[in-house]
Amino acid sequence: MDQEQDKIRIWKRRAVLCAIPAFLLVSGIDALPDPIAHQGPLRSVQIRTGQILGIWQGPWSMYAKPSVKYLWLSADFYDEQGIKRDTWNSPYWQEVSGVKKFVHFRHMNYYIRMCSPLHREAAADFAHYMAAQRETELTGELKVELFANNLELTLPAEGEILDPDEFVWVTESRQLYDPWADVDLEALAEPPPITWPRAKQP
Amino acid sequence: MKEKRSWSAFFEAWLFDGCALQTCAFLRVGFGLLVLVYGLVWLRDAHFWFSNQGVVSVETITANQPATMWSIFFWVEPNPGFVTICLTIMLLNAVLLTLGCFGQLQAAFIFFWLVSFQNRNSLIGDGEDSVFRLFAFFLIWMPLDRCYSVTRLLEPVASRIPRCSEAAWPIRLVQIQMAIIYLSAACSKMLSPTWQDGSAVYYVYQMQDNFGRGPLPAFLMETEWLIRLTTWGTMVVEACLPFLLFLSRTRRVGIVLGVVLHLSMEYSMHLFLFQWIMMLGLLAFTKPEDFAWFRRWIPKQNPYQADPLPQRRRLALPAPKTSDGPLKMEEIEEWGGCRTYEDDFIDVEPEDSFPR
Repeated sequence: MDQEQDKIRIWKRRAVLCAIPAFLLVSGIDALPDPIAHQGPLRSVQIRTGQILGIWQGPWSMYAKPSVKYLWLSADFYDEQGIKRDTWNSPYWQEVSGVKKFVHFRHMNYYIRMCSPLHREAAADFAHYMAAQRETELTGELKVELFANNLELTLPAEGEILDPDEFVWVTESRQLYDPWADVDLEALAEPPPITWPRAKQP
Repeated sequence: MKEKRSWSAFFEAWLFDGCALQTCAFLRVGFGLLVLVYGLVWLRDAHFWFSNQGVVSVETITANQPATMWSIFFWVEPNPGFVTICLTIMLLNAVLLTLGCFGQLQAAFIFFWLVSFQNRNSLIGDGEDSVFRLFAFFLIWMPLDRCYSVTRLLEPVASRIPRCSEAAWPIRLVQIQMAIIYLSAACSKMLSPTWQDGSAVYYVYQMQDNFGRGPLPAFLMETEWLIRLTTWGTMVVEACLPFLLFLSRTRRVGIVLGVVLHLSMEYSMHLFLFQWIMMLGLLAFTKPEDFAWFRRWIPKQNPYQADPLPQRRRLALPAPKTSDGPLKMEEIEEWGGCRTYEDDFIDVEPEDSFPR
């Protein structure tokens, strides 16, 4: 009986001794910063293993590339005749209280991600959701045109620390979803460029 | 003559040395509470984020993700009712984990729910979600209920035998993960021009949507050398932390530095629960003697209760009997190589102790 238990204990030890270096390898390669990481078949196997096991992580950039960008979404609601009925703006996070930022933290992440060209379909889904929320018997079917607006600080070259008065801000407004455009479903169905692992900004 | 230990023997001892049960219990309680807050914030907008009537469809998410990503919501239609039920179960798992009721099972469930919800809507996640998911995975393997737990309370006293054969490797996983995060962050920063030239913190400070939580003195962000010092200091601390935390002589310094780093970020930035989960990760580097050391700083109210804990522990005896009868000397010796802690002993008052 004792021998049996000893055998089990030894096998458990061996399993752990194999699993820990494997974990180190998978996680270590996964967390390599993008410029260092080699995009080879080994990395692809490692990423897939991490995803199947649920332990993927990706590189930890943690503000490695500070990008000062204030971003907000806006939407115009049009009725069937093409008349503008309403507008909507996402919160301007600079002006939101700390408690609200904590509770709406996910919203901040979501709006930022949705503006990425990689998530065009997500923007379309969001537009449809917004339309469905506002549609009433009075308005009928609504169409939503979605925009991403940002105000971005141009970082000076070679580590200059500028006075806030000398900052150069660039504004941009870009259409995220056009309800009248012919949606090329085939193009949408194409797999996007490799998005995993993505750099994170916690 | 001192025998030279090979690296493999050292590695084996490092992984299979006795496990600090108190540390596991603190990790369990801390993680359970954090998952509770995390889940409650999700619950508030559960239909909006995760249901099929929400902002993003399963089809859109799966089109953007590799097929290897899995979620219960890819197999079962995520109608609002189902999403609410799943999230409520996750919260229940978090409560039970905090209380120490079949902790490992609860951790496994939480891991399953976290993967499912995070993959269902990956657009709302960031780095801290990965930390939560990974910690849940590590907790599955830890002896979570051996102290400060409901399971422990419900166990018959006679069966409370010390099980110090519990290996330390699950805690080592948490420690390795923490080191990976700090090293990866430090490497990324070292490769970035703004961190190299020392201006990064100044521009992070300009991110008013994330920064500017607590008021900071103006000179901190107006003095150039201070800005560069803060930037390089942050980078150096992140790069050094893994080494400080793993070396026994500098371990406490590492923990204190890490906590200060995260508390300062928590004070100045809005990053949800990221700093708290990282501080919980630092707790994995603590040892029982740290708690005793910490306890010494707590003022004692009654001088008669001043008998020092280590002495009490030395006088204590291992539980004298198991269900199979009294313990033999060999069995006690078998534990010799392992560390046993307060919870593994029955309390025996020393004869010369003060009356209470």
